[in-house]
Amino acid sequence: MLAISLQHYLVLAAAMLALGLFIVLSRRNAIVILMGVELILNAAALNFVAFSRYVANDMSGQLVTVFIIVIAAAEAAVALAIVLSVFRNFQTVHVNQVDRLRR
Amino acid sequence: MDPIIQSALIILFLPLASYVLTFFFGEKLPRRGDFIGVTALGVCLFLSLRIFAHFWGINDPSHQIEANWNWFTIGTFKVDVGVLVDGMTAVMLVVVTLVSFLVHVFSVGYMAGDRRYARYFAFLGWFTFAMLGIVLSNSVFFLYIFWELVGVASYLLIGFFFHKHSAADANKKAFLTNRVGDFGFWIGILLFFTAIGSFNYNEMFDGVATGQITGTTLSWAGILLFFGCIGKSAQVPLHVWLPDAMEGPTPVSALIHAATMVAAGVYMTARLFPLFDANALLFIAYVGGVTAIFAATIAIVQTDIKKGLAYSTISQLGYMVMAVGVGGVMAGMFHLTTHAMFKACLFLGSGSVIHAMHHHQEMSDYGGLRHKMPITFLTFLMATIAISGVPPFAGFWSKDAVLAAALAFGMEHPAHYWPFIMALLAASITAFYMFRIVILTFMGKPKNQELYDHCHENGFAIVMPLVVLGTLAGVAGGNDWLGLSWFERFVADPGAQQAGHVQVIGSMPSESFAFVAGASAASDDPHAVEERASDDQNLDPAHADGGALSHEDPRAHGEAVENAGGEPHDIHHIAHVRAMWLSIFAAGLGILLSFMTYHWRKISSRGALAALPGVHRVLSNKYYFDEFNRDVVVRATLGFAKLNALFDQYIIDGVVNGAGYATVALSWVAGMIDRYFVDGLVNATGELLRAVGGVFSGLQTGRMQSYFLGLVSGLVLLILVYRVVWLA
Amino acid sequence: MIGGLIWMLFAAAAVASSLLVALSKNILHCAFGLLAALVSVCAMYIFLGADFLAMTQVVVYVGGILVLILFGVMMTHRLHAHGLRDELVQPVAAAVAAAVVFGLSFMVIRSQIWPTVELQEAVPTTREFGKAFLSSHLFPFEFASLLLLVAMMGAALLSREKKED
Repeated sequence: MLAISLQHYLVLAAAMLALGLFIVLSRRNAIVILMGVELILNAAALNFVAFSRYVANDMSGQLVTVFIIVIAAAEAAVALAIVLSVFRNFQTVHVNQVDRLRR
Repeated sequence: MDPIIQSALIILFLPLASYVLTFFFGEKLPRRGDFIGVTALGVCLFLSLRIFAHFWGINDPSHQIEANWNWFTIGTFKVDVGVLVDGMTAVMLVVVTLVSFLVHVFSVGYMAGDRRYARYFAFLGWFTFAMLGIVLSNSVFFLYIFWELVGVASYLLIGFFFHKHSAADANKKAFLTNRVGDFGFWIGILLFFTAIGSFNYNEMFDGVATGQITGTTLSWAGILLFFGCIGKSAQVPLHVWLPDAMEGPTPVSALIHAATMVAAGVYMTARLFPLFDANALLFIAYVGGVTAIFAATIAIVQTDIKKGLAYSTISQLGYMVMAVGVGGVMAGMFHLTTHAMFKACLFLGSGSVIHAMHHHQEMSDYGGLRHKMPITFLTFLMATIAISGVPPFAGFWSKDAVLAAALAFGMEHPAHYWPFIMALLAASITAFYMFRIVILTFMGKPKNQELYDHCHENGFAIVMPLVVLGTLAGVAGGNDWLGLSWFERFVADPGAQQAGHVQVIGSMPSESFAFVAGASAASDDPHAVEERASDDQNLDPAHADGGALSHEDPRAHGEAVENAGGEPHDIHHIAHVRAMWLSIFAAGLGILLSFMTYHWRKISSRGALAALPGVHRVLSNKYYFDEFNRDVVVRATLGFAKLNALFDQYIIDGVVNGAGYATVALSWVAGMIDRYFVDGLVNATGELLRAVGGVFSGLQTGRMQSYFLGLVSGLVLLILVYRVVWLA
Repeated sequence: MIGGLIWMLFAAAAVASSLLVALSKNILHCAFGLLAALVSVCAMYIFLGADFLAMTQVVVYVGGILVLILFGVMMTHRLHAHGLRDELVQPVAAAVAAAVVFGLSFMVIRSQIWPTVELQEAVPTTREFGKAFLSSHLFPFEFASLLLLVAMMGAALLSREKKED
């Protein structure tokens, strides 16, 4: 148990993924949903790095992770810009109130 | 064509032509067309007299000339139209045309200045045509048709002064009362037709003789036929129209309601005598007798001169009917003839008085008129003497014959003396009230001085017919004592009934010549004519022998007859003599009482009135017949009609309406079904789809998180399915 | 052994902070929770010998992205009636979904025989990254910079105040 294996990391990543999913599905505030997305991205990145160390034994996974981080940054910027736009138009950041595409 | 038939047809259609011409062109012609009627009737009279002379010469009551044409045939149903002329016809032709002619002449004076003068003459022509049709017809079918046509003429003429309500009511009453009688008449005709299959007189007589209709059916058929006579000849109980018919102009009363139309019933009964069996004849005799005495009693209390004469007419008609009923066909027809003469004279005389007295008809305005109107007085008196049955005037001979026949009947059927008794009493009362009229009108002191001063004898047009008729009233009866009786040349009593099939109470009085209903007269060839003559016909004009009527001649032939000789012969002779004395006595008694009461004032009429107020009231109210009709008969009929109307309204209409309501209800149900069930189904389907759609559209929340949840769930599901399927 | 224990510590910290993010009613608490989670992940990276990555994580993620998120929070809460308050919507469904996903993943992880290799000594990786970026991963490197440029432009455009037109 105390010998940390790949599975530990994978389980941890799965847990973070699940929690991140939970946040995305159940929070009202758009910013918090964005936080959830970041958590999911982090979980995925962690997976890549763990596999890189335990299976591939080279840097391939880490390189991917760098790019994940880059993309996450770009996406966060754009997402926040969108949130701001929505906020200006709908006067709210609660995603359940942005339902103009309702039936 | 036989010249007699030719003459008969001219006589028949000339008055019709008079009607048509006068009706359509009369007003535009000079004198407003009255000469058309007078001329036409003059010609008819002339031709009738020629036929009369012909039959006088033949001197055989059974001689007939018949002409028959087929009108139409439908399968076996054949209707012929034809003419029958025999002695009876000849006499009737003269009676009708003579009286009609004289009435035409009289009306020229009487109706002068009337607003509808031409129309009046047209109607007279119409009536004469219809009456002649009755006389000349050879089948009950056309008898009935012309019967109704004289009813129309009577209606038109009674209601001539239609602006008077009483006249308008009277003509309706006449027509309706006649219809009641005619209803029975027609049923009787149909009963005969059903049994025998023909409307022709001779064929019907054959049918009865050969037993095609017998027993109760025959009796009832005869009685029903007689109903027509009850209506038309004003017998009790359908007499009620005749007094009211006096609303018409007086010459009309003379022509129609005295001399001719009302006599049509008697003529019909005499003509169709072989169709009546003994039961029917008994009925006829009693109806006649009752009518005779009944009307006579009412006549005593009449104050209107025309009403008095009207009841007298009803009484005399009862005489005639009774005569036929007891088998005295000759007597009945003879009395019809003499009655026509003196009753027409009496009515026209009263017309003369009324005209002179400015149309006052109540005898309380009269009195002492003999000084001012001598001719009217004389002729009126002669007619009165005749009607009272004083020899040697005409009425005596005919009444004598009637009473003799009645007495003989009573002697042969001892249970049935009543007709004779009633007739004798009526004779006495007749004399009484007729002289009452004469005394109150012409004798004594004038009761209305003003009218008396202004009245005067009337002109030629009015007076001439009076003279003619008055004279005839005197001499028309012939004189049996002097061997001048003439009527048996024309009409004879029937011989014994043909054997067997009729239930006879007693033997019928057999008189001179047997009345033969021989072989069928009808043939289908147009214009076929047969001359009916007895075989050993003696064309000796001098055959009319003097002496009593009842002499036999063994001229029986054909199937007839149980003849003469011996006992029946004696009864009639005895009866004749007894009746004669009794009638003279009765007449004298009546005249005496009349003078004592009204002229010599020995008996007080006031006293009688005071002593018998109830009697007077009943008589004045005419035995309450009109009230009975109004309250009982009419009300019952109206009640029945109302019942029918209610039935129609509630039940029949109820059914119809009910069907309507049922339909409406049914359609309401259908509507409900449609609305709730059918529409419900349709709507439910729609609702279902909408709900389902609603459910599914609920998926479109517009919220990102719902979509994402769905996405995740789907993914998980896919994985699970993949795992399960792959691992399986 | 100690290492394992400390690893557990950091793992628990990561999970706990993630839970904080998930369940906190206060948005700022969520933000700081995220901070803790990110730092924990950084610790994980160090355990895995990815030193450059760990630094990049702290600098970019925590220093950039998290700060950006905080900016967002600060900018959008003011007009919000509830201030910094946030509540959960459809928590049950989300929890179930998350649990199912975790369960599935866990089952997959545990059931696999992972082809792990012998653990090597951890070496500094910065030089390798530099070499890689300019040789084998040149294209993604350049493309990533282009992406950042586009993202920056886009974000700037999107968040512009709409005053004209």
